[in-house]
Amino acid sequence: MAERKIHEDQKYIDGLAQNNALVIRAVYDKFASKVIHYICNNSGDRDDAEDIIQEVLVIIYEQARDKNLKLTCPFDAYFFLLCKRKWLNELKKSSRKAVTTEDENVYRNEEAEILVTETDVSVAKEKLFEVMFDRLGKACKELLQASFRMKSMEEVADTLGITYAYARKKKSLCIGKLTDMVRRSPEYEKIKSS
Amino acid sequence: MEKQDYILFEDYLSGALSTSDRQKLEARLQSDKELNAWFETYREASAYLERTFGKAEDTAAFRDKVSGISEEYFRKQERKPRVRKLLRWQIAVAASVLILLGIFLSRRMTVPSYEDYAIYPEISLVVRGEENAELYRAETAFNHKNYEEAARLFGEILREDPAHAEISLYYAIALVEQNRFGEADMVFAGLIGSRSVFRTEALWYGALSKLKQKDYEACRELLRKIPDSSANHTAAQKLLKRLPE
Repeated sequence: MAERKIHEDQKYIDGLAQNNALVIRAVYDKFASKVIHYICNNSGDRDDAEDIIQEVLVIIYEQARDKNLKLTCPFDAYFFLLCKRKWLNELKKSSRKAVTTEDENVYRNEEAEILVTETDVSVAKEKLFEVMFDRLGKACKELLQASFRMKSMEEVADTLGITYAYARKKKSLCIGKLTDMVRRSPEYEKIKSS
Repeated sequence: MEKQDYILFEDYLSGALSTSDRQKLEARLQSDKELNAWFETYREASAYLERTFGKAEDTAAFRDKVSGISEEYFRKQERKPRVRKLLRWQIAVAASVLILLGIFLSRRMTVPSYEDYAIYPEISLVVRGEENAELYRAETAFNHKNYEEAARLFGEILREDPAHAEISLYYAIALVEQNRFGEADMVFAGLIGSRSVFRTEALWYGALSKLKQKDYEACRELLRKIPDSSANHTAAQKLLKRLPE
């Protein structure tokens, strides 16, 4: 596949990754009204729009910070499509009806669809890890939380009252367990093939 | 997967393997697709844990900032007064009064002033989980329009972190408020020449600095550089029309 060109709106992505108040404000000022309009015309209200926008901004923030998100379409298109899909999912969950409006095609942007699909896969994977982490035993959960919160494994060993060597070994086995659970879940296959 | 392999993965990722052991594992990963796939998932699991627990505070800080700005945005919109529809005759009366007033005041009113435009949003630079008393003091001073104190504190912060674009911008604004134009314009010029996201903000506030100095030509030059995509573009175009020759 040819190299995908980065859109100049990447500045918004970078600004969000930097937790930059001016950029966050600019996103609201420029792009929120379209989302509010869409949700209000689609069985939702302003409170729903407020929640969806916040959740989507956190998703973009994490994609930018951790996955080095490169924007290959206008920010508007990416942001709107993420909000729209998230809202349609919410509607599905609450079995409220979605109203499909005719002007929907106006917002179609192929690059944005590709990018949003990538983001969706990444979010679905995240969710799967979250669910599986929750199913780990208490000891593993504690050890992993400590391992990733604290600066060193010495500190972890001290806090949990175990030896350093055991803490290290246990950490790899617990991540191994998580790896195993994720790979063996039917959900994993579904995400992989999407 | 064998327990031993997970221990090996962890040692590999944390850089604890000897050169020869590392090369051995890399060779196995190359030849054994199954092992490679498990290794990739192990790596993803580890990255997931890092994001979830290692960077939890960063995410919480971002959420806080977004929720503050969101609150501001949505409440502000709700407060927007409804425009009352005027009757036709009311419009006619109002228009003629305006025309008369306009004739009297046109000379004075056409020259825009810095004060008309210098409206700053409340800034929030301090993020949760970050202990930075100095930044908090600077932010508070700025929001209370105590620009002398704000400029002093921003200046100190920038001495330690000169490349901080957001703080540079507020520093320059605080300087303009005190008529310290030379210093302010230098900071704006630095931001304008950079690739920072604050570049267009610097163009706008830099132009306002020139407006306050009544250097209309320089003001015009900066305003013209503000791109269409900027939030300040419309305001810039309006100001351009109002500037005296």
